[in-house]
Amino acid sequence: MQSIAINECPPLAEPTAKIAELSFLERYPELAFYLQKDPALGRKMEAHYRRVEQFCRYHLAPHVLDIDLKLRDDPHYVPHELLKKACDYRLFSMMFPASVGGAGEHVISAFMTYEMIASHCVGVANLLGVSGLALACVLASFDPRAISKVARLIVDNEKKGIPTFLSTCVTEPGAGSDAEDADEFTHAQLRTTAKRVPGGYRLNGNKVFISNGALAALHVVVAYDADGAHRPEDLLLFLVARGSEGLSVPRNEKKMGQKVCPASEVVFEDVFVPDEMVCRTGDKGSYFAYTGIANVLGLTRAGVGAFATGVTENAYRTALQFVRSNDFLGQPMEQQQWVRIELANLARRAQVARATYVSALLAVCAKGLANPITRVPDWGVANWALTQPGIANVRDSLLDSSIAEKLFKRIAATQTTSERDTVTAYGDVAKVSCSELAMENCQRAISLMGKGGFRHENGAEKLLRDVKLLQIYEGTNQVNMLDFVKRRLPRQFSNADTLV
Amino acid sequence: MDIETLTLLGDSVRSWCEDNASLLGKMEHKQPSNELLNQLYGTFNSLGILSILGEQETHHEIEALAEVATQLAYHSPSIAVMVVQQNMAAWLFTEAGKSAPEGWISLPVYDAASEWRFQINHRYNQGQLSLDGRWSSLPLLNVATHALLPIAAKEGRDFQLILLPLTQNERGLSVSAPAVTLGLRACPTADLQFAQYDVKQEHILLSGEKARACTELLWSHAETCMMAIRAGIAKASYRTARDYAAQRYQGGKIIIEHSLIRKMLADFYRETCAMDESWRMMAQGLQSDQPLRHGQVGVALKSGDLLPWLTSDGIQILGGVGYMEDYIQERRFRDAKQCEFLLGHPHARTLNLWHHESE
Repeated sequence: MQSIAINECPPLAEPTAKIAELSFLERYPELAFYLQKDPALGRKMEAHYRRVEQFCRYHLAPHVLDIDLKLRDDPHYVPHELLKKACDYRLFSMMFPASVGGAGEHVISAFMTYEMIASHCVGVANLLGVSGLALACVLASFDPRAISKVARLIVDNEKKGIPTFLSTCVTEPGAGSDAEDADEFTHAQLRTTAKRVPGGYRLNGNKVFISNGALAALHVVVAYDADGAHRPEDLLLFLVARGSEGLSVPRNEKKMGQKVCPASEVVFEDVFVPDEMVCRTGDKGSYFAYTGIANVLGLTRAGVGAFATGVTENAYRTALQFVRSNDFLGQPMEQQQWVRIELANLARRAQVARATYVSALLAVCAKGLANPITRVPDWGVANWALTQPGIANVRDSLLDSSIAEKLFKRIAATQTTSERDTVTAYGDVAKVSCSELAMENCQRAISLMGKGGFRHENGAEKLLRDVKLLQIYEGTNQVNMLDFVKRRLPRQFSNADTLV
Repeated sequence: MDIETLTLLGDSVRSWCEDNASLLGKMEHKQPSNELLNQLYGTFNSLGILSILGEQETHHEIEALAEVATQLAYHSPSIAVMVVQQNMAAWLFTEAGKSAPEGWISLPVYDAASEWRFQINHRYNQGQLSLDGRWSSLPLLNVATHALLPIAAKEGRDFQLILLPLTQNERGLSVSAPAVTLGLRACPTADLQFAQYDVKQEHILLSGEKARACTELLWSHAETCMMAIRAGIAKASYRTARDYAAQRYQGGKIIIEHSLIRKMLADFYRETCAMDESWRMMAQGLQSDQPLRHGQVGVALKSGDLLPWLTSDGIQILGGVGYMEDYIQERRFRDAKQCEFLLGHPHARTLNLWHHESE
């Protein structure tokens, strides 16, 4: 039997309905309260919001579906043009203080950026945000030398139009979500080790599912001291540059969604890491192990909440666009009361998600890992001077000094256990709640759209593929809830640590 | 069909799927070529599973087809949909007293009976039926030799079941490129575009009120097969999750030793059992000349609602591994969502169910 060639008709025309975007204070009315006290910060945030909106509208949104299709055929495809534009908009350095050459945006603005980008493509938000996770790990080491090293790399490259990614190498074949839980970390079967040698360490091990693994200029690697006893205080944190001898990225995983952010296997075979690339994590790493991980998770899980909120919003917008262009049983969908209520519920979930992650973010800014960043003063015109070659050298020497390290650690020590638990628990709630709301919205948006929902050109099917990962990374939602139990409920149980 | 024959049929399909697991996996990963799909047609035709409903549509034959569908869906839901669709076509030909043409036949299995009249515009020009518009998401359209479409009037009771030969240079008829879809990728869909297309008299397979009633009855009974497909997906996802949890470590112990995971698996198993039992009970309780009872339609719709959430848990238990294409869990999640739309828009069917109740 032969296949039959028949006349081919063109694809459907794109829907013409335009969706009105929310303004800054329509999207974040709760921030108005805080910004009344600091109008200058409010103006800066709003200006940044508009810039990111412009980036999304002109450079991201028109290409999202095409990029996804290209990645279906070629998992190694990288959208270079888009990333170059992200450099122009200073999206890589936005969180670094202007005094070290960064864009000097507030942490809240950075999260808004991730949310807005995720509201067009959560894969791209992840691509940029994963560097934030790595930065958070470095920040949690409270090693100013390492922080300034990373900052300089990103800022200098961004100025040259070179997008710079970081990866966080934690997960291993035998250590998944448990390696992303501050207390379960000791149970995770982390096998990557670092052996002390003259002038540095030698790293050996396999890391898997490493987001940005194939793109990263610098890998932030968690490994045990080979001479230690696999205790939390034996954990060490390394910065490993791309191209290091013995470092390889043998393959990219084929993921269901968020394809633009590659997940790779990263292999370390006797990789030499010089001392200056080892983060000084305190006495035998104990600060990082016991409090650093919890602090990182408080911040990054709130970040996943921001991603998820973007997806929740995108599901609403995608359904709205479809409803405005299609009929249901012979009547325009948008004129049907029940359809409007469905849309209202999609919008409602986006609002609930946003409120949830913003509350976690405010907690992180007030008492968590972002607190020291928010305290960095903005010296106005002096920022320019601080980035000039001669003065910048003095600045970097100061950051490299032990005085700076002591100061950073003193700031870290001001956080109480209760504050840390509260911030991390808020991160857990943001991650779980927002990702569940996002999943609910994607499922419901597709159901509303009917057979139009499962077709790529309408955007919703990509959302469903993308959203599932939000319930998995940064610890599965189940691991997050177990963490929440430990941080919020121990006073309610006599034997909270003996769960079976 | 007695229980022994049914078991034998199920076993032989399962055995065929296991022998061809690699082929089925490849087909679901990347859209299969027309050549491969045509080869499959030949294979299934020789196995006799494309015309189970060909002789007559009784509840025994529906039960047999549903058994085949659930076995196929365990390995490849796309192929299960293709086989059910072809059987539906075979039965319509029997009703028309004609023999089915060779090759795949495309049917609008993503549309409910209540949606047929809104798919395309049709009018009579001096007694000649003329069609305009675009019927979207018809499975197998790019490989099928014919499309079988129920053309219903927006007002009144006028109804025609037309058989369109998908031949080259047919004036006023064109087919889109295959759509990129969320799931069921081995059973590609495309759109059929009509531009003042005149339907020839010989293309009208059935018409009138009796034709409408029998086509709607078929759509109603086919719910059983779609439920069986969903049950097959649920069972496959559950077993993969259970086996993974029994082998891999998390937090210092085997995953299944965590009571949280045991509870998730227990809930998953309960729903899987319920889904499997539902279609079997429904098939046994079918009356050949009656559509499904309202309660049965409700159960069918519920299974469509539930499955995407179950398969989402199926990924969750595997964690990051479940999200990767090398494991089949992610495909089941995608397929599950698309299966929600088999036999029509769930909101349209829900409203239609209530409409009948309120009458």
